[in-house]
Order: sequence, then C-alpha cells, then structure tokens
Amino acid sequence: MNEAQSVPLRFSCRRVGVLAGHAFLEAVRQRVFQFTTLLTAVLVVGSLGLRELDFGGAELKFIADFGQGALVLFGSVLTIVTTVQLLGGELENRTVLPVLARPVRRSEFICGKFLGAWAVVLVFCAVVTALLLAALWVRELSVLAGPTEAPVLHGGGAPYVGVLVGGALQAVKFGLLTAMVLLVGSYAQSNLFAQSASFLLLAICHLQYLARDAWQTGHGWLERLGGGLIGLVFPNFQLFGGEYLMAGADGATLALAGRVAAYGAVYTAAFLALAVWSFRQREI
Amino acid sequence: MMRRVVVSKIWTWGARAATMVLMLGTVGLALRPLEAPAWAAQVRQQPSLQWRSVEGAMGQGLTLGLLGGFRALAADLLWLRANAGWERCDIAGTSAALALVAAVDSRPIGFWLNGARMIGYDMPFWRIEAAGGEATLPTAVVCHVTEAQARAAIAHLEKAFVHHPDHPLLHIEIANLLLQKLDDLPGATEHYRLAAQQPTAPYYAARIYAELLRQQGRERAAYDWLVALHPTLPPERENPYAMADTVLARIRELEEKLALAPASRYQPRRE
Amino acid sequence: MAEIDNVAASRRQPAIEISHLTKDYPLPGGRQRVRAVDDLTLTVATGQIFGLLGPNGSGKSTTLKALLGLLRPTLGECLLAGVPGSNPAAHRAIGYLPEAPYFPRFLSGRELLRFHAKLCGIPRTGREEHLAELLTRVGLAQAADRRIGSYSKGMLQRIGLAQALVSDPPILILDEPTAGVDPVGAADIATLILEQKSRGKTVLLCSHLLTQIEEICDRVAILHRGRLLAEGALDELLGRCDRQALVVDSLPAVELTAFREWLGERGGTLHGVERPPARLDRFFLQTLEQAERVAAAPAAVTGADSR
Repeated sequence: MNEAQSVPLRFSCRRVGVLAGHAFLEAVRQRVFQFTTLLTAVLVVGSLGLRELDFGGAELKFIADFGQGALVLFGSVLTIVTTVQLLGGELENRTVLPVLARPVRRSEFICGKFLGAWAVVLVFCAVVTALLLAALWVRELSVLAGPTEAPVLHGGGAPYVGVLVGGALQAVKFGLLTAMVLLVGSYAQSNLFAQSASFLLLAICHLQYLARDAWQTGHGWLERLGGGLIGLVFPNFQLFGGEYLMAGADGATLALAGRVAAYGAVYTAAFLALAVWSFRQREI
Repeated sequence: MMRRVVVSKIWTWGARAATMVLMLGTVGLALRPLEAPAWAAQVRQQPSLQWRSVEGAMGQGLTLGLLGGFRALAADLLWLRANAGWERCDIAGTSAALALVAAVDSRPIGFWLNGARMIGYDMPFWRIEAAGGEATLPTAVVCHVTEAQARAAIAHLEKAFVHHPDHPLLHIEIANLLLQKLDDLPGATEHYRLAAQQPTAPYYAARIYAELLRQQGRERAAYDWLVALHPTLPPERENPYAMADTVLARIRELEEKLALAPASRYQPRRE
Repeated sequence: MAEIDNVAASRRQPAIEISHLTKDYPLPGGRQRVRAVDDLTLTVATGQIFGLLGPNGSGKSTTLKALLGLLRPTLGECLLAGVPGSNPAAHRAIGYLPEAPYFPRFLSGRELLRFHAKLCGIPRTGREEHLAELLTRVGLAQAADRRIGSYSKGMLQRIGLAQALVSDPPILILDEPTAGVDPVGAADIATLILEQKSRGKTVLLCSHLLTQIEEICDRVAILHRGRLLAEGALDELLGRCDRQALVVDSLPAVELTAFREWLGERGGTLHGVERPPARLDRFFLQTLEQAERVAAAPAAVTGADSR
C-alpha cells in the first residue's frame, strides 16, 4: 500500500474552504442571484416613493416592513434556487464526478456547498439590509428634522437596530433553509423535484406553529399526533420574524434574538448532518 | 423475487425516513426550552399567530402574507385597504379592515390611533349623511349615533392597552373622545393625567391636564401641578415644544387667581 | 532500506484489483433489476496500460464508478493499491477522466486546474508553474485563460486529461479519453499516455476504439453485457506470439514460390500473402505532417535566397 494512501483522510476545513469558494463563485455568476439582488434593491429604494402616501412617522415603519418583506420573499427564493442549482446542477451535469474522484470526503463536499450557498445569501442579506438602513436614514432626516414634540409621536424614529437584528435573523433562517434544501437535493433525482419539495418545506415550516396548536388543542388523537410530530420535526420559521424586535433594542429582546439564532444554528447542524448522511448513501 | 425487491426498497426508504424523523424530533424536543420564551414573546405581540383571530382575513387575499411570515407587510397593505375604504366612506369595509389590521399587527400605535379617529370622528358623520343629514334627523338620533361611535372608538383603543400598556397617546386619544364627543370632562381629565405621568408623554399632555383641572374649578390642583411640572421642562430656546415660558405664564395667572402671597409664589430656578 | 522495501512492495502489489464485482440496478417500479456488471474479476499490475473494451452498455463505466467508490457494488470488492476505492484516501493515488467530461463553464482552464490542485493539497509554492507546464503538455497553453464554456470537444478532453494529471498520480483512470477528438488530438493523447507509462504510471483505459487500444495497451479485457469475455496480454489474445509479419516489396509469383520453399526447408510455414493494410489514420497524420513541412519550407528558401 502506498504510504500516502495508508494515512486516513481526515475531515479538512481547508478542502471545505476550497469547495465553498468554488460554489460561491459559481453562484454569484448565476443570473438568478444578480437579478434577485437587483430587483430587491430596486424595491427597497423604491419604497422611498411611499412618501406620496404621507404617513408621517409611520412611513418609516412602512419602509422597514416593505424592505424586510422583500428580503424575506426574495431571499427565500434565492436560497432555494441557488442551493438546488449548486448541488442538483452539479449532479445533473456530472461535473461532480471529477470532484468526488479526488481525495474529498462526501461530508466535505456537502459542507462546502452549504457554505458557498449560504455565503451568497449572506451577501444578498447584507446588501439589502444596508440599502434598507440607508433608505430609512434618508427618510428619517426629513420626517424627524429638528426638535420633536416627543419621539413617541413619530413611532420612535427609524428602527435601525430592529432592521439589523431582523436582517441577521433572516440570514440565520436562510442558512437553515440552505441545509434543508441540501438534504432534499441529496436524494432528489431531478432539480424540479428538489425545488418543489423545498418550497413545500418552506411553507410547512411557516405553518409549523399551527401544528403545534393542533397538538395542544386538537380534537382527535390523529390530529394531535400529526400536529405534535410536525411541530417537533420541522423548525418554526415564524420565530425568525424580527418584526417584534423592530420597536426596541433592549437587552431582553436582543437576548431573545440570540435564542432564536442558537435555535436556528442547532437545527442547521442537524439538517446538514442528515444531508451528509443521505449523500453518502447516494450513487453518482 | 419482485415482492422481495419492493419490500426491500420500502424497508430502505422507510428506515431512512424513520431515522430522519427520529433525529429531527429529538432535536426539536431538545430545543424547546430555547424556543419557548422567544415564541411566547412573538405570540404575545402578534395576535395574528392565533388562528381564530384572523379567520376573517382568510379569503381576503391575506393567506399568503400571514402564513409566509409577512405579517407586518400584510398589516401595512390592510391599512392601505382601510384608507381606501375611508376615502369611499365605506363603514363596513373600513371597520373590517381596521379590525384585521389590529389583529394582524398590533405593534404600530398609529394603526390604533388613526383607526379610532376614523371610528369616532368620521363614521358618525358618514352614518348621519347616509341617513339624510344632520338637518333632517332629530337631534337625539344625531347624538345617539355620535355617542355610539365614540364609545366604539374608545373600546377599540382600550383593546390596544393589552399590547401597549399605559401608552400616553392612547390615553390622550381616549381623553379627546370623552371631551369632544361625550362631554365627559372628569373622564378626559383623568386620562390626560394618566398620559402626562408616562415618561414618553408629549409635553402638551401635562399642560392640557392642568387646563382641564382649571376648567373644573380646581385651580389649586392645577397650580400645584404646573409648579411641579415647570422645573422639569427644558428652556424654551432648547425645545420650543416644551413651552416652558407659557407654563410659567399660566402659573402666574393662577397665582393671581388664587391671590397667593408674594413670598409663597413660585420662584423658577435661575438659568 | 525501508523506503526501498516500500517501493518494491508497492510495485509488487497490483495497482488495481477488482474481485467478483457485481452491480445490479433496479428498474423503475421495482419489479426487475438489470445486472450491469456480473462477477467481474480483474487485476492491473503497476506500470501497465490496461484496456477495458466493450460495446455501449457493456459495464465499463459502471466498473470504473464502482472502482472509484461513486457507487456501491452489489457484491465484490474494488481496491486501488490495496485500499478500497470507496475510501477517499485511495483517491490520493488516482487521476480520473470521466467519459464526455463536463466542467464548470464559468471557469477558465487554468482556474479549473487550480481548483483541482487545491483539492489535492498541492502547495502554493510552484503550483502555478506546475499548472502552466501541464497546460503546455496537453496543448492548451494558448487557451488556458479562456472560459471552458468556449472550449471545443477536443479541448474539453485535453483539459480533462490535464486535471487528471494535476496531482501526478501513480494511477490514471481514463474513460473514453479520445471520444470526439480528431485523429491528431487522439495521437497526442496516445503519446501522452505512453509517456505516463514510461514514468512508471499505471493506466486503466476504457474505450471502444480498438485501433487505439491495440497501439498502446499491454493487456486488455473485453466486457459484454457485464460479463468478462476475455482478458490477457494483447499478443496472447491475438495469437501473435509465435508469428511475425515482414513487409517487403511486391514479389512476382515465381519468387514467391521460391520463398515459400525456402521457408519450408527451415520448418516454417508461409500462412498468408496480402498487401499490408494502409491505415487511414496513419495516412491522415502523414499527410498533415507533410503539409506542415511544406508550409515551413518556403520560409527557409526565402532566407537562403536573400543571402
């Protein structure tokens, strides 16, 4: 046995980094990333046109909500489409063959795809959040110019910290969604199935709280059992809505945001581990 | 052989699915203590997460918005719908939209305040006009409609206290309705007092409380209140909204009215 | 001494061992299975060029994928220098060129090689020089910085070969390396493969271009519907060990008879008289070489005239 081969191949963060960088480069060159980012940026900047509606201080809330909504909607689409393309596209085009013929563990491959895809979505979140903060700042200058009767009359000013924390929580959620899509992609035989199943998962996770309610208040044992199972297995995406943080930046709400981020991180690790396990069974 | 293949395939896929469900279920269970406080905070602030409260929204094109995590945006769009109904003087449509807005997103105080204004000030006018106008209707009917809408607006505002305990603007709005529509001077005075006591209250709340006390003949109480208020106000040149000079002028008027001895009169701090 | 022993041991150990490999694929509906490879046993010694032949659907690519751990055998085992192919550590020793290779279109040739070099852990020092040399060796120096999406089929095969060679592996596994390549390119690739053998590398080559296999392989195996039909050294299989072919100018019938008698006196037999087949690919290459010589000649003549 060759000496080099006799040394077991340990998990290498370096190789994961190489694969992640490659995945990131591939993803940012895709039209879907460029188009989605541009469209979202246009929507966020366009929300400044809400001044025509003359809501006064509440206009800042409208701008923030509009921007956050665009971030959530297009970020979810971008996450699913990009991740499916990065994994499924590589399997369909067979560009995965020379890569897996290298001394690369399948776990490294999946982790590299995860980091590359998530990095793209992080860039998207950062760009949109920065634009939103800029839009709020520009508008706040005119709405709250000069001394005020009382900040409470204008809704307390622009919710900068809330927008920042909201953007960060959405980024965590998109990381979790990336891991879930990788799990689906690890056994899906077509990109269409992977995308459809991923959007279905997204919907289920947004409705997960209803299943939890069914577990607690459902009428039949089947309803309660099904609700309980769904409530346990699927993460609660409604938890990542940072809107409830938009009003204040006190320690209590920031601590809650930290809990939510930790919740997302643990679920992400679990889905990623399952994606690795599933991909290891897959025949290329 | 065929059955063995099918059974083997089902067993393989079933085992995989069961493993995933078991693992994710265990993770979900382990994360409940982490999730619970954050979820409780969400539910407290967003009644739309309680399904029954927004059943009326289903079928009004809000399903995707509510279920997709776009509650705040859905509420904004509902608010636009309420304003569109207001422009058409549509009582039923506006009322329904206002109720939904509050249910979907209870955080913005502006939704509650402006909604109450539509209910308390605009809707009585619409109802009277729809019934023939103030000139044709008996005075008692006009008063009844006005009072009924004012009470409906106050009830709407009182629901807001669940989400915004002791918010000064809610107290002020209730006070204005009591004063202008129900002629309830003592009730309005009490609400202005409650408003003025909040640290985020606008400066005028304290001034109006004093004025209402004076209108009820309680000049001494008004004087004591203003004397306690004036030292807390920033100088006029720093914040004209505080109107420190106006408050001082009111103090002097009351001193004259109460015929206070010069020695016992209020001495403002030197700047 | 220990190093010499290791080298000697590694030379004695087969580079590739396939033992009783069987692979079944289930058909949709789960009712039947198709057996892609059926009880295949093969050994490839170190330093050999081994050809795996067979028509389409004979199980060649399945065998290679099982060897590389890309799919799980139903039965049997595949070893690369003694390490199971499913173990990623075994891939340190191999370079693989897949059939009809697809590479990320957005990368240039150089970027692709750099990516694979990083995956193999080639250190940064000297890496770029190594990649440049590799690109020159496969004839892509001029196109190194063009996107792979703009490459022709032949260029894709060349860059695929380059990525297989990037870590200078002791074992090369090439699946249809000259598929879709013109005769000139195919000849270059054949030369490259022979060069690897001269450097002590082992090459497992899959093809259904029999001419090429015959020219460069030491041993071949023939697969058909997943089964091994024949395996051995080329000369053994073709029965050529005890015969020779002499190419002489055409002889008249009388002299041919005299030659036959002369052979008979020495115990030999003239088995056949025929015109040597003029290989079209050889003719094609010779014609091109001649044309290039002629194109280069006027420049030399002009230079002489000017003096």
